[in-house]
Amino acid sequence: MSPDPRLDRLRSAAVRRRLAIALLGTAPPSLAAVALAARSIGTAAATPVCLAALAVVAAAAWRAWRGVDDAWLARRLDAAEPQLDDSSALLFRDAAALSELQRLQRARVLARLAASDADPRPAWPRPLLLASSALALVLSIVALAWRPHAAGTDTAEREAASRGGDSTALAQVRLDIEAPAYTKIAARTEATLDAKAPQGSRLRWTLRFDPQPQAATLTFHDGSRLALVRDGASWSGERVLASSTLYRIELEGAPPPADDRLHRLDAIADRAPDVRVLEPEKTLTLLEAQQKTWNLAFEASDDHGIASAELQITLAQGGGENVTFKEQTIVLTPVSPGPSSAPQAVASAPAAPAGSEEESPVVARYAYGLDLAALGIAMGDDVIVRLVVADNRQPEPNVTRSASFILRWPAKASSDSAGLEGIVQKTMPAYFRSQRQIIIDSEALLAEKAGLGEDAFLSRSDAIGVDQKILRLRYGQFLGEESETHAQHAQAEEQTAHSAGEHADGASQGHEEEPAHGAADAHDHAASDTPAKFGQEGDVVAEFGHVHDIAEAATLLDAETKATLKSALAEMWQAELHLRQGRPDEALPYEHRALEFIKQVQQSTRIYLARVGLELPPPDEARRLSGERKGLQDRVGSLAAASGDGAPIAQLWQSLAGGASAAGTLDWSAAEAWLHAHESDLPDALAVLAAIDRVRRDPACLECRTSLRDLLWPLLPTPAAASAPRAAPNAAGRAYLDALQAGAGGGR
Amino acid sequence: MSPALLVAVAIAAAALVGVVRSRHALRYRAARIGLQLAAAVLLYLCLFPPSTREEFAADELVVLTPGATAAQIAALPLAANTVALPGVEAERALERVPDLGTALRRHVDARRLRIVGGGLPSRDRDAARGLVVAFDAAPLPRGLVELDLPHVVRAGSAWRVAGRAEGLAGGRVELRDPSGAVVAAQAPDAQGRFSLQAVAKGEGAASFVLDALGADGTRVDSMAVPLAVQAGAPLKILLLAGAPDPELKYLRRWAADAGLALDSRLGLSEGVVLTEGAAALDAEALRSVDLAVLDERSWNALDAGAKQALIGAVRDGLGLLLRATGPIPEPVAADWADLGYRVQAAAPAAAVKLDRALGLDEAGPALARGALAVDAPDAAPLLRADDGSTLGWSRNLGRGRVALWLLADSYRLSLAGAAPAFGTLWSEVFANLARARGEIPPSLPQAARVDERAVFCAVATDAAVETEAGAHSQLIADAAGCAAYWPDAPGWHTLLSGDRRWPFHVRARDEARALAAGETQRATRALLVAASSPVEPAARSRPLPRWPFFLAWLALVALLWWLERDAPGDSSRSA
Repeated sequence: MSPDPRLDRLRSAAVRRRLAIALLGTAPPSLAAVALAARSIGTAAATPVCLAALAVVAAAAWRAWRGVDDAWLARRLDAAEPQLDDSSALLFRDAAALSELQRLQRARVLARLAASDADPRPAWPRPLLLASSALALVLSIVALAWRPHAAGTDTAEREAASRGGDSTALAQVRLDIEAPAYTKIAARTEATLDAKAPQGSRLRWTLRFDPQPQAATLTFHDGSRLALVRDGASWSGERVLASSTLYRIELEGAPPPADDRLHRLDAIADRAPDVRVLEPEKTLTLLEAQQKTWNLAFEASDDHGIASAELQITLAQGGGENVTFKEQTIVLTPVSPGPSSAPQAVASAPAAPAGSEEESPVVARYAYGLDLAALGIAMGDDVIVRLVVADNRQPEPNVTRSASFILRWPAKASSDSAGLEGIVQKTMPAYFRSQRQIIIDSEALLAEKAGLGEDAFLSRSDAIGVDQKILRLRYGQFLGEESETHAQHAQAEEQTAHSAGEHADGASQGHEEEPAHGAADAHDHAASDTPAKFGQEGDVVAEFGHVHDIAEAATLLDAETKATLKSALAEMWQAELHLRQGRPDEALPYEHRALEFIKQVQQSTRIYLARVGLELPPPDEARRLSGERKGLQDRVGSLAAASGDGAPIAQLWQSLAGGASAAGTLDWSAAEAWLHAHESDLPDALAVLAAIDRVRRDPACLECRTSLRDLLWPLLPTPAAASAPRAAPNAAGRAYLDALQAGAGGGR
Repeated sequence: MSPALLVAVAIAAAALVGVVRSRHALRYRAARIGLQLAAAVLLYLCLFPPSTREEFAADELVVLTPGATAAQIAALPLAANTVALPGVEAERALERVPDLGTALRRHVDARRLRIVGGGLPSRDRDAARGLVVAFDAAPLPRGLVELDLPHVVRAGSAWRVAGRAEGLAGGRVELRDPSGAVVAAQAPDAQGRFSLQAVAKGEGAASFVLDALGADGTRVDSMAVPLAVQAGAPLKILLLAGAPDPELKYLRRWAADAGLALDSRLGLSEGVVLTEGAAALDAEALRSVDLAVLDERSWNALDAGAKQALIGAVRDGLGLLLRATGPIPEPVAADWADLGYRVQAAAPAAAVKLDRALGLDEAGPALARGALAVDAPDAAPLLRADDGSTLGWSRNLGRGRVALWLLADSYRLSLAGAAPAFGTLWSEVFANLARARGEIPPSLPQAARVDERAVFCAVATDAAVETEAGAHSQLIADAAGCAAYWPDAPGWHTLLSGDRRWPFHVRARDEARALAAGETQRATRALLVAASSPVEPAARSRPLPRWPFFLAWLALVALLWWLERDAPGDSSRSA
């Protein structure tokens, strides 16, 4: 506060003037600069420029306002009014602190100030203001004049402008893509003519041309056309995207569009669902003891959603040729959708509504506990399950079937040979169980002995003996033993039987019946009623099937197994002997021992077949070609060269290298026909077709031809390796060779 | 009076004045006088530095070539006659010459050249021939420094690109086909050598790409591998065999597919044959045949006249391939011994591998070598197995060639999926043996580069070069049939001669710099010869550099100033 109100007035007047000067000096150029920036680089991009301009103006104003203090005012007053005796500074000092003389002077100054019309305001800086307004004017003019020079406009537009009326500009491009409803992908809009969309999407083009054509058509590479319908200034048309395709805009009554290459529409096919089996881990699971349920867990995933999942259950019961199947299907519902079940992230596809997500999840887990008791599984049975998952594709869903998973309740006597088939063969085929059957039959016969007549007993015992013999013979074949017929040796056997009868001692009585035999007594009478026939059949096999010691058969088994088998055969001999004599009780111990040996063989041995090559014996030249030779005559071969598939492509590829001059004479149609014919086999036939179109339209474009050749490369057939003669020697070379020969001839 | 003496007198006078003035100094008198004298001496030495004598080889010229490193230049003896070719970057002042020829004219007594740096550019190699005795090579840049490409690749055959990569330890080299797919890849061995194989497609020029990838997978170097595939010629083959076998089946199938004209007669039984074409064995018919393929059974069945006609045709240029497929009967062995191959039954057939010989990526099948011992002292090996045993021989007989072939089951290659290897094997054997009736192709530049001279030889007078853009330049051949061309654009060019076209590739100037450096280095090494005369020792005086004297003088003068300045304690004189 100054001591005099008049001073305050002067001060505020000076501040106002300074502010006015600062604003007038900085604001117009700043405004003009902001306008120019907005015109040239866009409104959004001009924001920093605008802020900078504001900062400049604010800084200038701040400086103007802050610059006015007591000292400045005193200086200005002294300068403006000489009468103040350069003493204005006294006015701003506290009167009490002044000396007498100063106080006197201060009073004088005050008085003079009141009398004078001193003006401390700075004068208008005319040149500065003039310069700043001139700058503002220039900037404004530039901003106004910016548009015609158009540095930031589209290159295509500029090209079109430079070409004049040669081409039609696409003033507006709008491609609405509406994916099939089941995909739950929201409709979107593209501003380009190339697009990727799910298969079956509905595409709607809205185009605006400049100048306006009379008619516009979209021509697709498969030959179909889509005429666009005019609606005011714009043209529109609709098409369903069935497969990836190329197309071009054709105009009537107007020059062709500036961008006249083929545009590409890619159809994204709906993938079939993926099924991942979480449980069981192995294809074949063996039933554990006390297992009541079989837990199954699957995870299915699909790109657009899973519609349904079914579990196909097959129960295979029985063994051998007597297997029955029971099938059933259970529809599964997903449990606890996994954390990754968020809607699929197709570009710009919004999240599907929560309700529909539950209906057809993208990832779903299924769990099912199969109740084995309810299914009725028994020993030796297999349960086979398979998950069938369908997605929600329309009109036909994609269906994926998982691999089959088997739960096996192993039959008791089975031994594990999974995964080794082909290399390993079991030594003993299934009929080796017959030794057990013979034991069962013998025991049954002993049990019925009381109710049977002696002859009947003897004949049944004999029949069992025949069975035992067949079995022995079959084993004998494995050892390379000589086969024998029933008839030939029956006598001899009976004779030896008497002498060997004493061997059947009482020790054999200690053998007890095996408890497991209760299950099967199916063999009994069917076999024993027709023993002779059965035996004869065996004889036939023995007679015609095998002759003397077969080397291969004899080497099948290692020495240890052979010894065991031999022991088994010896026991069988004894058993047969006693059975034929009508003494099954004495035969039983031998039968049991034979069974034990056979089981040892079964459990210990697999046969490893050596992989040996085919080694043919040398031909007997004496016998060779000594057969019937009537009607034999020379034959004419008919060797034809492989038909060159892809020849048109190879031809096109070759001629593309032939310089620009050859481009006009290229045979495009054959190559295009070949491409159309093989479109489905090729990874990207559309790219090749588009490249061909580019070269056809611009034969001089070297880069287009190179890229087309590179695209054609994978399609080129690989011919058989060609051969060519070496270069003919020149005169000197020939003379040298001739001289060599002459020298060699002379030397001999 | 020499300037040195004048300067010496002047300096001595000045020093004398200084000494006189310092005579009455109150402090440091002795030091000041001593310093004055020392400064005078140093000033003289700075103006006229003393010289040293350096030994050097008077007849040796050190040639600095582009790529010489700073360390190499620093290690050079100062006295040696040194010239720098254009492109040498050095801080030292060097005698610059525009080319080696100029340098040799300026240094007429130079009898030997020591090359330092990257190597002599092709322009200077002729001038240096016979003179280079030492080459101090600069280290090669990282990348592919050597590339070995087949000159001629026939359609459908397997071809190999070999080379060497520098500084690529732990990395790999990849060969990409024109579509960008990797067709072969390999980690270079300890020396950086690699060899990649691919199968050619039909006739035409294709640019493969060879990428060198570092241990971290980044691309270190990349270059085009130009491949000009040539079509084959329909050789006329006569095939006689005692019995059909799988080898013949696949051989005939390949011959038919490869476009060879095949006449064959395979015995099926006694008096029953399977024929294709005429397969006649008279002198007239054999004149048009390029190659006859027979086995020992069919040879045994020939009558004397047919054998005579066959051998006569061979002397006249026919190729004859004798396939030993089993035991050789006595008369056949005798006939074949006359043809230069003494054949005896030997140990049983041995299994051989051809994986390396044919460049198979995966292990190929084991093949059987016939159970024969062959004594053919003047025959060249036609095919060697991986274990070094020879499977085929060929020798000249008159103008033709006779070959013996012990490999009886090469068809296994075809069965094992190596059909191109099978075809390539047989196409090379057939090309080697068939009647020499091919034309001599013009020799094309193998490493043409933009703005470098590309030389063609054996070109016709009407030869011209066509660029990719279609521009023609006529070639002017000299008396030897060679012509040169300066390409100004990279890419495929075509040598036109009559109605024949021979594509060749021109690299861009900046492409494959490492390869260019490697080629320059190898070419320079190839110029190295043993020194023919002993070194002529000479000595040369060289002035020492002045700057140490100047610095010492400056230090002394500064000290003098400090001592002689108007120190506060010395005010008596100033007052």
